[in-house]
Amino acid sequence: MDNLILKIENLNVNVADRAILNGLNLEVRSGEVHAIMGPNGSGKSTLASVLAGRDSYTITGGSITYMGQDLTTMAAEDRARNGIFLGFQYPVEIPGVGNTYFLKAALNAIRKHRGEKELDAMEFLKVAKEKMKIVQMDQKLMERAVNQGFSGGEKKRNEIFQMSVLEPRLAILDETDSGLDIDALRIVANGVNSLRSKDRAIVLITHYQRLLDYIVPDHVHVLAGGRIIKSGSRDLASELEKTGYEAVVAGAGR
Amino acid sequence: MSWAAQIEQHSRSSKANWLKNLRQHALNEFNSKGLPTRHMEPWKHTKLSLIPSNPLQWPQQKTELLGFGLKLEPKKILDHVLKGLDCYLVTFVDGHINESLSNFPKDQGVQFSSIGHLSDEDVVSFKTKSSQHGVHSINAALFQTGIFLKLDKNAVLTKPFVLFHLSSENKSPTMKHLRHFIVAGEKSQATIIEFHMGFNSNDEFETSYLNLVAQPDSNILHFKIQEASMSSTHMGTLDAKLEAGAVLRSYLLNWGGRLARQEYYVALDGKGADCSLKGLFFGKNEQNSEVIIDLQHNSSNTKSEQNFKGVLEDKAHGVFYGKILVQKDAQKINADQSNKNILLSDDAIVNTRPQLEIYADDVKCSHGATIGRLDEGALFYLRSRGIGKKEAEHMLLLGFAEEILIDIDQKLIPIKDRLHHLLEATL
Amino acid sequence: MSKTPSAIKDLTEKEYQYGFVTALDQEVIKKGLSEDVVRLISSKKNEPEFLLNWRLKAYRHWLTMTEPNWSQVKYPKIDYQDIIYYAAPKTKKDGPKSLDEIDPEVRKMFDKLGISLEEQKRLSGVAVDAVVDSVSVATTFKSKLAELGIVFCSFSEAVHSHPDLIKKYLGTVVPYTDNYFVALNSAVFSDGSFCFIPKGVRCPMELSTYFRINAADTGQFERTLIVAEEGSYVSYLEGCTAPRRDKNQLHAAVVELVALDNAEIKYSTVQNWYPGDKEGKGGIYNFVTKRGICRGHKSKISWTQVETGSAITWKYPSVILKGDNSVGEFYSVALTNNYQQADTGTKMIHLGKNTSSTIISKGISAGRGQNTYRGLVQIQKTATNSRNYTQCDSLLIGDRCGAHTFPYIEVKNSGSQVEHEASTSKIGEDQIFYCKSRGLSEEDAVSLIVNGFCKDVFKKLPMEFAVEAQKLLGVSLEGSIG
Repeated sequence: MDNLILKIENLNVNVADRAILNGLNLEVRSGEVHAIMGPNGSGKSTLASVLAGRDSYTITGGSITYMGQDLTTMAAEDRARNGIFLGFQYPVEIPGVGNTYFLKAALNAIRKHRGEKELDAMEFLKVAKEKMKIVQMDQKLMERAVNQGFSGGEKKRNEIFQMSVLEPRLAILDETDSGLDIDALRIVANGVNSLRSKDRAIVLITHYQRLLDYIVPDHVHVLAGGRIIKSGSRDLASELEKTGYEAVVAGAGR
Repeated sequence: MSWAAQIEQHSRSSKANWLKNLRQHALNEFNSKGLPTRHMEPWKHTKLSLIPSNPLQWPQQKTELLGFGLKLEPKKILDHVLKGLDCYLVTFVDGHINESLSNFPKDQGVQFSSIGHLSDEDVVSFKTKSSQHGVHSINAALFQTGIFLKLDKNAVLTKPFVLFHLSSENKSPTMKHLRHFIVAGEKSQATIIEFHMGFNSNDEFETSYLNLVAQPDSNILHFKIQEASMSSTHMGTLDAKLEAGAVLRSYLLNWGGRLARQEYYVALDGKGADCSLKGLFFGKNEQNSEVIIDLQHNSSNTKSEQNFKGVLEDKAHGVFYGKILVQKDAQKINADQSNKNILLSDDAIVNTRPQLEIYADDVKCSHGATIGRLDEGALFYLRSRGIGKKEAEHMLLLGFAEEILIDIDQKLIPIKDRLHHLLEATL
Repeated sequence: MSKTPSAIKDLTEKEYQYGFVTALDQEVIKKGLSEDVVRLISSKKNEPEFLLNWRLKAYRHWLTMTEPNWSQVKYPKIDYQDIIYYAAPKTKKDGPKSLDEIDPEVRKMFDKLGISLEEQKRLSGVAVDAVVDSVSVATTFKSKLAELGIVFCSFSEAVHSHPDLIKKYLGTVVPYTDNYFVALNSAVFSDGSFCFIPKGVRCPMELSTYFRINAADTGQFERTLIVAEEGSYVSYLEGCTAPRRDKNQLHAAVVELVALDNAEIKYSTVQNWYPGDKEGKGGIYNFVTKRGICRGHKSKISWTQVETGSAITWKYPSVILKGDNSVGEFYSVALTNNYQQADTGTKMIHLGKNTSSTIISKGISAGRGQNTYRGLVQIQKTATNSRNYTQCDSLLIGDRCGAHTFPYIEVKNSGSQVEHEASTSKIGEDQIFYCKSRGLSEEDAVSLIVNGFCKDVFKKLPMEFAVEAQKLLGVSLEGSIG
């Protein structure tokens, strides 16, 4: 078997009785970086949420297979424990819940699932400190409540920091570049690049090709009207940048 | 015997004038108002059947204490709860002061006595206020024990002062009524911590009234940690009068009791007085947990904050009734009130009544109330990081509660720990 | 700084614009209330037996009740025997057959109020039912509406033309036992409007009733009933004025709305009854019960009110959300100036699943005015996954007025979400200063700020009314600073 991590076949998804995804197909292999691009409302964020297991989406057809398992019936936390990570477009603020406490609980839940020893506070801090360098996270942010009072850039950095601690097999990064200035974008992109490995696949969801100047994808897909209408190499992204989505969507004969 | 008869009997037996007056007044009040009824707004949603319709027995002083059938050792309980907190302490066991388990305050400029030893002079600061309702009259007429603490000008209570109320097992239904008087002189400072802890499986009716006068620029920090037994009706009151520049910060954990009601009557009488009331109220099974606030801005430049959160499970019933009154000509007022509630079961009920009554114009007042479930976005975020649903809910509930406790002084770590322990065990 | 702008002070002298009295040839019965009076009113209207019986039951029930005293408003005791319960402009025989037959004085009076009964000079697309004192005097556009199957006429007329509908719906939303003033109204109501929108019809124009108290010593007790059948839509407006008199007059109306599956009723009120003079003398006691029921699936009822008149306003337009997925809305501006008192708000009773309600209340207190928001949001156990959002803001102008907020919130299931926010603050001096520094007069600044404060509500009003409401607010505020 080749190193297939994720296989989506003819996926149809409804949100509140409205069809958002209509027959989406995608295959992602270990070590690959895929970029999924598309105009607003094309279903990009829906795809991310469905993969992470958000409740309010109804799968009306098709299948999602992750590491040979049916993903559609798996609870959100079980997906995370099995190595799926979603980098949120809008990371949630959770007042009263400390960042460190939260991440330690998450890491230990995953370690426990993998049959590894849970880390105590000291061991966790050691790991965390190491990983914080990757995205130049400020120690002070760790002492605050989850994402509370974080700037847009700090929130996105926190997402990548969490990814580095949790070490997923499949990371889906939803609009990780949105709301970032150029310096923050570079830091976040460097963080992601440093987490690229042959055992890990990354799916970047983005509206602009700007991010792809920093994180060079192996495959680029165009999502429109709820399905992938064109796939190609990274050149497709540059083409999109030149011609705009409309031309590609029209060219795909829809 | 009826309440009226017992109150009448007591009002005659008092010796000191101040006490005689207080009791007499309570008698008159009780005769005119009687026990609370559903027609009284702040009692509209209260399970009134849990207030005994006739007086119960005062618990006997016992040599051997039991708690839920086991031997009860107050010393061990104190050590366990206070965890070496360096404090002044008065321990009440079944409503009686236990001197050997106490450490009476003895700082410079600080007077302390039990109320049995009070003179008319001592209580000159406490104007006999009209009781708000019949339960207050019962307390005023029947209280048999309590403390008196007076801080002179500039006096500082060097250690937190713990009032520890312990109830042990009783064979028959009992009642006890406590009243504490605290006068904080000009620029004085004190930390007061009230604990109520019950190990009694029999019916119990307890009223506890704290009368506080905060003279100009005094600073009071107050805690009430209520862990009464689940068969008890606990009626607590904090009656505070704040003079110019006085500051009161109060924290509540309303945790135990079958019916547990904490009332606040705060009068911001002096210019620049500042009061913050915060608290958590929980209910499980068929508990009734209530917070009642009547806060009056009677003077200009006064400030108040109220922040209460409720978590109700099973068939529990939560009530929040909070009023901010701004008197005519009390200008430059800041008042905020917030009450957030989470319902964890379809059988749980919350009634919330935040109220603003404003007769002045230069004010900034706001209130907010929410009732709902845990935030689904936050729940999903936690789960998407591998944290199980139950654990995620627990974390969010703790986070919800934490906002109330977050600014508690680090010097009071054992108190904070106790609060956290109760939250961990409950949520 | 902003305490005594003379320009504004001058305007206080301005009188209540609608305070004139029209010399109409009136038919008036003697003062006082008794079973005979109830019978007399019913016989004057030639009512069927069932209605007389209903009135009598209401009257007998009223006798057993006591006047409520729980609200924040204060007023001297009303002598119910000192009120005239029926007054009507005299008409030729059985009332006007067509608009041409209307007493020219009545027509002139409405012209003076800016409400034209001439269809030619109409506000575009507004059908008007005009009620003076106790009876309806004219309904415009009746035939055009009839083509669509819409019934829009006076209540008295509907009793004769559509007795089955009246029998079916009268008192089903607000039973005569509901409260003291409802019982009184049910016994003595003299007229009002009736409106029926059949299945699937979108009413093409705004329907409007204009209420006018003209006669002295009378009480006005009108009754409005609106029924919207499956999938229909109607927008209904009411306006009210009264002459300036020293004596308080009682207005105790009842409004019932019924919305069936997928129906929508939008009900807007601009209430400008005579508020009394600067000393608080005279004015209307406006004690009104308005309630709608979203009986059907996905039905919607929306109340919008601008309350600037009356000495005392006491009303809580409510919605019972019975149908699953039904929607209730309440948008209110209440202004009290001089000695006016308002105790108003809403009740949202959630019974059906997935029901949602929104409450936006803006209270403005000026002079010695007392303004109270009182509202109930109740989520019953059956109303799973329901939502309410409430926002109540109060603005204080002057240091002798009061603003009070008394929400009652009760939730009985864990899947619902209720959010209440309220704020009270003084009109911003820095805002006034900012406006003035850009060349605005103080009164314009106040008016601008107040209008901005009320914007969320005004934008819910139909166009013509929104403009009217803004003007009204400006006039009502005059003299509020100083």
